Amino acid sequence: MLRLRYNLRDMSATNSTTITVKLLLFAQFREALGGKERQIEVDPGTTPRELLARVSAGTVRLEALQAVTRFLVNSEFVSGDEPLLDGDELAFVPPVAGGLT
Amino acid sequence: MYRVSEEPLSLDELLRDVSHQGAGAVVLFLGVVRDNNEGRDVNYLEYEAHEAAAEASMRRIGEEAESRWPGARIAASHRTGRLEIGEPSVIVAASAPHRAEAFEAARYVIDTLKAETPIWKKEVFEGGEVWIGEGA
Repeated sequence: MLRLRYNLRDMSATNSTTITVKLLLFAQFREALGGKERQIEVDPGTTPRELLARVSAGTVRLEALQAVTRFLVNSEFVSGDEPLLDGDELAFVPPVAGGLT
Repeated sequence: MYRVSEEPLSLDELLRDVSHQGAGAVVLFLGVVRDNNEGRDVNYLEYEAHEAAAEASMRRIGEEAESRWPGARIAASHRTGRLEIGEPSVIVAASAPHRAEAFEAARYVIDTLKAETPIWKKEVFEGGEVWIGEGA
């Protein structure tokens, strides 16, 4: 999950080259990935949808949910196509309870 | 009042919240854990929520109903954690000047809540378990 990218410009700068996002895991994501939350370092510009693809890769059950999963950033529903910011709290929202009572 | 909590639900609290002197009708809807689903014998259900987003979603839906049915007042409460057969998992209370609006508003709130609110349900049955909504 942790990914660092080096290039000459970044190495000459004092700032970190990544941002940190708090990922909240629910339902199938919690069970498949383990744990309710984790801190993830990502490259600036990473979108929720890209991060979903990354954490789902290799897990058939999660890959199958990708097309129907929505996104909450800081408790607000978002499209998933806007870049994440340092310190954002991201949650993946697989299909909700729904159904017939 | 909009609440997501592990605590047992209180009918009285929701009833009190929507009651007022202009309300000629109050509808209470309870969603209850059923002992079977799609031919399976259900043992129990587990509910999980993004609490902040779920409460905000319920509030938005309730406020939508209140503006759509003038005079309506809405409250809703959803439980999380393990729920046994017969226990209520969700209560919607809707008051309105007349019963037609109260029924319609309550129905709108529960139907929309079930489709949108970030609460997940796992069914544990004889021989397995499944997250509802997974498209199994």
